[in-house]
Parts: sequence; structure tokens; C-alpha cells
Amino acid sequence: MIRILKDPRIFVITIVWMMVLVFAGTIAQKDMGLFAAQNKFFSSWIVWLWYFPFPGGRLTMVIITVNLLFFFFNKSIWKLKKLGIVILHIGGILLLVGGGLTAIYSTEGNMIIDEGAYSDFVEDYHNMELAVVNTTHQKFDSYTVFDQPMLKNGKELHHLHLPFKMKVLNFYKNCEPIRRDTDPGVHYKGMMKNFTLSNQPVAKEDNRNRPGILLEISGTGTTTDGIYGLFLGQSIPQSITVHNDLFELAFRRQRTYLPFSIELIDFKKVLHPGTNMAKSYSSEVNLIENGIGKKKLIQMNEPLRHGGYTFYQASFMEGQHRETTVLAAVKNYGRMFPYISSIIMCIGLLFHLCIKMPDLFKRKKS
Amino acid sequence: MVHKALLTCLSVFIILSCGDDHIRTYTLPKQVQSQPEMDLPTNVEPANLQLSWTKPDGWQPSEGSSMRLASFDFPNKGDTGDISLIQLGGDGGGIAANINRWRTQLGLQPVIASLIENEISRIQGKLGEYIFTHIRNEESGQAFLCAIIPSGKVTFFVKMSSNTETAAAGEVDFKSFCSSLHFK
Repeated sequence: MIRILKDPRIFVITIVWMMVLVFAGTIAQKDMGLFAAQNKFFSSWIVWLWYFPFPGGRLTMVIITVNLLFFFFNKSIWKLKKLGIVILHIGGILLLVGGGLTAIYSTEGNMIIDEGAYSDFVEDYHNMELAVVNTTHQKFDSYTVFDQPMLKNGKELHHLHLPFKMKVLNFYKNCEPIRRDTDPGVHYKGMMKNFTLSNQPVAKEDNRNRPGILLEISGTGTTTDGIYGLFLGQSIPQSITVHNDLFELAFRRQRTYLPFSIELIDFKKVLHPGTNMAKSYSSEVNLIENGIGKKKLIQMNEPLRHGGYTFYQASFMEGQHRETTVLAAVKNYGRMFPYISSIIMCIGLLFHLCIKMPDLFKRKKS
Repeated sequence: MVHKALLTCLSVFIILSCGDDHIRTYTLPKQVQSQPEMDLPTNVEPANLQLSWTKPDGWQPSEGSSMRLASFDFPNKGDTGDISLIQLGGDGGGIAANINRWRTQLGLQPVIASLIENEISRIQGKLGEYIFTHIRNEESGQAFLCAIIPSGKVTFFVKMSSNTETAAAGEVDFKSFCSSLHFK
């Protein structure tokens, strides 16, 4: 078994297959969009091409990692002469481990802040969440949040903090609220009394879709039980009252709250002379942590790094009286791995070169 | 020994990768607005402000809904333009995203953000400058007249859905309606 796993031919075959995946993914993203192509070819365990399953990017990388790990079972490499090769392989494994950490644990999203306002959360680019907020208390709100993987058709949602149950009747990747022409009946509540969510074709770029969800609430024993609809960007929140507790239901981009907040002091845009084309953007921000503020400047190619997050200047919105900055927030646990592994691989190559140098000179003389 | 250590590390890594904890609970202090709304009179609660407009003569009020602030029909040569006025929080998704969403609804290709300016015109109304766009699909014969009217922390969207002929006939009235929007 070990003999098979350490076979260098596996490495060669998987590297060639990875090249094929990179080529196919690059071509496919033109038609299916970047995010969908990334998911299909690179973040998947199995990729289906027509009716045939092939190893996806994630499985291929695991095979390469395992193959490199089992390389160390070769007894012949544990010699001083092969030390450079061993170091090189350690660097390669570290690079793959870093990639794995990034793929599994890294998060990225947007932080949108108006001038003069602050934000302490990052909104995911792609994933949604259903937040049930108990707003009864005067000083704080209690959140029970169901992440997108739970929002599957037919899935029942319940939690000991909630005095009712929910069932996902329909999850829409892209929908449009449309006015009802007919009497909806007594089961439909809230916005759904006047509207229905119409399924729309899914746009290839995720940010052009408006996801929505149709939910059935039960177990309250009151007329609150019924079918509710929510969609992204809904201006009027859906509220329900259960046993004198007031709940708000929000269907929104998945939020990650940070232990610090960022206040936008000023957003600056410099235009190319005589045009409306932006030359550079920058955000002067106040980084507030434990009540202490520090002024920072975020501009193109000069991100702010704090608390494991990196905030890049991504975009902006212009209002009548003030501007809004859009920061791309990335948390990547594997951020340092490429640097460290590259250095290790360089050391390995140099070591190997130094060890082999005398042999090269000998061959030249002979 | 080395075999076991390597296999254990690999197993732990795989198990850690398979987490399925998708319910989160937390409490947060109630959200407080960081500053008063700049675009609205500060001595008046936004909820008390009423949006007002001048309705063009040819438009007839139609059945409203909880989502629409106002709804009108514009009859024209056997077709009826459906006009809606809604309000969304913030920028309502932004200019480019909304225009491309409308284009997609009409079966047209989206345009890249840098070319959006070619698709719109900026008009001065009573609520300030707003965006107007006339989107036509000549093949299907359907068209939208759309206006994005930012006002402080909210954005008003006016949209007329009709055939291309009705859209062309109603464009002047549509713009005059959008320009007339103001707070009482």
C-alpha cells in the first residue's frame, strides 16, 4: 500500500490532471462565471464532465499531498546527499497545507461603511444566512442564525432559543417579488399576503442574483403560524410576535462580527485630469478596538491588516452628500504559508546544488 | 512509529475539515444610528415624512400593495404600462446591479460596470439628481423605463413595464413624474 502511495508517477499524473483542470476551469468561467467555475473545478472533490466523474481540484490536491507525505517513507532519501531534496519536499508539503487551510478556513467578504458611520461586521460575498432576532430586550438583541448549508428545501429549522419551528419550503438562488393577482388564502402571512416570490434564471455572476426563501412557521399555536417569504435587500423587515416576544426575520448575506470596528472618516477619490475615470481611491478610517481609536489609511495596494483580517480598498458608492467605501475583507489562515514554503524550497534547492557541486566539477574534469 | 504519526495527523486534518456546525447564536447591543440623517430634516422622524408627487394626466392609480408606495396604469393603444414606485434601504443594490438585473429580465445581455454610464442619463429632480434609463428589447417588443432616485439612506425606484411603443409614448410623463417626487 505504502509502495503505491509513494509512487512518484502518481505525482506526475496528478500534476498533469491539475493542469487540465486549470485549463478547463479557465475556459468554463467565461460561460458559467468565476464563482461557479471555481466551485465546480477547484473546490470540488468530484467534477462531473458529461456523465463521467473525475477527481476535482480538492481531491487532486489531497492526493498530491498524501503522495508527497509518503515520499518520506523512502529509506533511500535519509542521507546527507539527499537532504536538499527532503527540504524541497517539506517546502512543497507546507505549500499544499497552506492551500488546504486557505480553502477550508479562509473567509472573504465586504465591509461597507458610510462616511461618518462605522461597521463591525463583514458580509460574505456568496453565502446567505437566515437570522432570527429576538428584539424583546431593551438593551440587546439575541440572534439565532442559520447558515446557508441548512437552508435546503424541506429542511426543518429549530433551536432551543426559539419558541417555534421553521421549515424551508423553497430556497431561491434568484427571485423577484411579484404582486399577487389572486387571493393568497389564510396560510400566507406578512409580505406574502400581497406578493409571491418568482423564481428567476440564475445569473452567472453571483452578485447579480437576488436570493430569497419561503418559510413555514409552526408551533406557536397562534395565527402567527403560516408561510412567510424573505428576500435579499427587503426594505421592510418581517416581524412576528410569539408569546409576547418580538422576533425579526432577516434573510441577508452571511455576517461575521469582528472584535473591533472601523469608522470611515473620509473617502477620497482622485480622477485622471479631464476625465471621470478614477485614478486612485483611499479611505481614512478610525480603527476602534477596546474603545481606543487609531487612524489608518487604506488605499489601493496598501491594505490594512488587523486581527487576522486584511482590508483592501475594493470599491465605493457616491451619494448626494456623502460617500460610501467598500472594503474587501479577507481572513486567510494560510497567508504566510506560500512565503515560508517558498523560502524553504529555495533553501532545499541551494542545499542540493551545494551538495552536488563537487560531483559536477568532477564530471567536468573527467 | 513515523507511519502512525503521519496517518494520525492526516486523519485529524480530515476530521477538522468536516465540521457541520451551521447554527450560531450571539447577542449584540441594540444598533444605534451613528449620526442623524443628513438628507432629511433633523427635527422630523423619517416615518412621518410623506412622499408626494404630481401624477401625469394619462396615468390612472391602480391597486397598490404593501411593497409599492404607489402604483399606476398608463393605457396606450391597447397596451397598459404598469408603473410602480418602491423604496429600498441604502442604495438598493447599486446602479450597475439594478440596471443589469432589468436587462436580464428583458432577455438582454448585462453590460460591464464601466459602460453603465452609456446606458443612463442623469436628471435633476426635486429630490436631487437621479438616474434614468430606457431599456428596450426590440426582439420581444418589451421595454422598461426605470429611475433610481437616491435620497439619504433610502433609494426610490420607479419602473414602468410595457411594450416598446407604450414606453416611447410615456417617457416624457415618466420623467416628469420622477422629477416631481418630493417630501411634504
